[in-house]
Amino acid sequence: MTTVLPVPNLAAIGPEILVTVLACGLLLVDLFIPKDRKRAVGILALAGTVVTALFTMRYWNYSATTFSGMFVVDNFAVIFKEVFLFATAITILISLRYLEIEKVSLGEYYALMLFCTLGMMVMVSAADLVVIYIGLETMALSVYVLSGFMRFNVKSSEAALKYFLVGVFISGILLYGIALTYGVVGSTNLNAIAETIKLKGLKDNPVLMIAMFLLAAGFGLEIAMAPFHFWAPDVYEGSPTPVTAFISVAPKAAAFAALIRVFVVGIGLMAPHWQVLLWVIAALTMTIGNVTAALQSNVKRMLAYSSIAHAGYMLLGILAANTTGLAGVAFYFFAYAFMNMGAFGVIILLRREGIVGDEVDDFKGLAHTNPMAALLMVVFLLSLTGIPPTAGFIGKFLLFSAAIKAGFYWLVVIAVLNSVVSLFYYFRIAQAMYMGEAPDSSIPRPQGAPSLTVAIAIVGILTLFFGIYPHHLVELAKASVTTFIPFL
Amino acid sequence: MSHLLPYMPYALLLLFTLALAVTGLGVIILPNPVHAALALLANLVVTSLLYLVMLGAPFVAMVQLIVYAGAILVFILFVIMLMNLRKEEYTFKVWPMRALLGIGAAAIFFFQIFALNPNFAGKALLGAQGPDAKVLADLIFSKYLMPFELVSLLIFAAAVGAIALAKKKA
Repeated sequence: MTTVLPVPNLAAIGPEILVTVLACGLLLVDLFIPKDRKRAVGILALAGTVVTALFTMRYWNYSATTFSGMFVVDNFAVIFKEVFLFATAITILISLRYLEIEKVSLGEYYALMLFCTLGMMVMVSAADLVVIYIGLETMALSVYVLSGFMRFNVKSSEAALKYFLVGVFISGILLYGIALTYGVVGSTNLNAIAETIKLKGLKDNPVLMIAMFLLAAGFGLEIAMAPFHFWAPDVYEGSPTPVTAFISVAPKAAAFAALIRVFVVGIGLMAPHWQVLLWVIAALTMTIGNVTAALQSNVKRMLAYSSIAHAGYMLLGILAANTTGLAGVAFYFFAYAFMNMGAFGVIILLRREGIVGDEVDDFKGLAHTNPMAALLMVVFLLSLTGIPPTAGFIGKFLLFSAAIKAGFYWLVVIAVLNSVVSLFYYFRIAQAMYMGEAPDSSIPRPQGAPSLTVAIAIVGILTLFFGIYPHHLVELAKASVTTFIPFL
Repeated sequence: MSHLLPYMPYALLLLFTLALAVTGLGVIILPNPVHAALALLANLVVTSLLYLVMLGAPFVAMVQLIVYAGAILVFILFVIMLMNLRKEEYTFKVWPMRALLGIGAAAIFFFQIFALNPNFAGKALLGAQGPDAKVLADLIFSKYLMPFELVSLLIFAAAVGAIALAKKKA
């Protein structure tokens, strides 16, 4: 007897194939490029990422399920893939000069970044816990290496090791959650899990509840939600700043998307249980993130805690479990990619020969030495706080209104109070820039490389543009979550 | 002789478990690290025999040999050689806390075997036919094609990362 191999729908994984070919191609090209010209590899990676992003857009409204139900292409997956590809492109732009200053300009950097992107793209399209896990691992392994890429810098190595140790530990917890789910339900496919829970009335099953906790913990690490946030400040501070910008946005988005798919599609019937869990986690995450951020003097650490806090806001969207909430999460990740990568871009601008430039004091007098950068930084800070007319405001508005619609009034009160706290520490930076004494003129003025300037300008314009004309992106975000309507 | 045949699996099981226990004890008791590693090798080989003979799973047995006895043990020996470990100063002291933890762990295992699997009493031992390579291949190349292909990329990315981190200063 010969087994007939099923032919999977290869067109559905077009973007993933493109990214894989690009990453492997970069490794080959890298061999022929002399050591002092590695920037060329980066430019090639950038071009490839832009092409992939354009190509992925063609998958809007393309819906397919293939690889024995393990891989799904829907608008939700497409919109998150665009977030990753956008974040990757901006990261490459802000890395080009930074890596040369740090003397770690290697071709592998860009290849690993694309492998990471591949892992994330698989994660958002996965409809099976096994595939989600493998995507997560591909992403995480690449990110561990990227965060330790300045391998002669103690802080960077420490960051990588810490991230790795916490990561493997949590991988174990996630796998335990997957195993327990499989043990109870008998399948790892999300739709099959939902079906079995419905047919056998397993929504109050105690083992499944433990599995739910473990799954939330596993994704919670990448999201850096409390109480799994301890690694984030050290890793964010030690990693090369472009990598920090990247991991504060893209892996977080991937873990959120996977969490949404697993919780809404897979164990959606257990919503009353996970809503209680997420309520507590969201309140904790927001408060710990914001209060601790207010105590930091290092801007990278401050943004690390602020990114923990933002994860707390975004949990409101999942918690609300309605179309506005899920669309809010998708929109917020775009806004967050713009504003957070912009803020990190300005930190990179301050990195000069001999100056690290990531303390609040380093921002002193930036309004005089580089007024344009200071102005854009204010835009990013306004957006991070959630003040109009910026994309951050629209994102928060969507999330909070979704939570109100679902009846979580107290949580929204906590979230709004937290936003007020965040205003305090974000504007310490603004204060330093506009009211601080400029350092004496012997120190070189912060002057960004052309690629960095372009990147900051792009995200700055997008932050403002989607703050003033959010309509189109909101509609796209709403259209992206239609897949989940039967499960809500 | 033939009337003894039904008892063969039990005799074999007893033999294997005894060998497992002896070699396992060897790993933790032998003072010379290289000897301990060799005891681990023996332990892994016996485990693979257990898979082959008792569970009728030749493929799993082979993988066990190649992966654990072949690859992982070589790594352990490498580390032992690199670290230049000496003989362990060994004192036979039974700590009450440790003994208690050990007994607790054993109790949990027995609980799992007997309470969660009431049909344990040797039922699966006779004529067990585990999955062979063909069944696994069918699954890997049909239902699990996607994870299978992705794992290769995962390992590739890890290798690239390891090489990048090990590079000399430019």
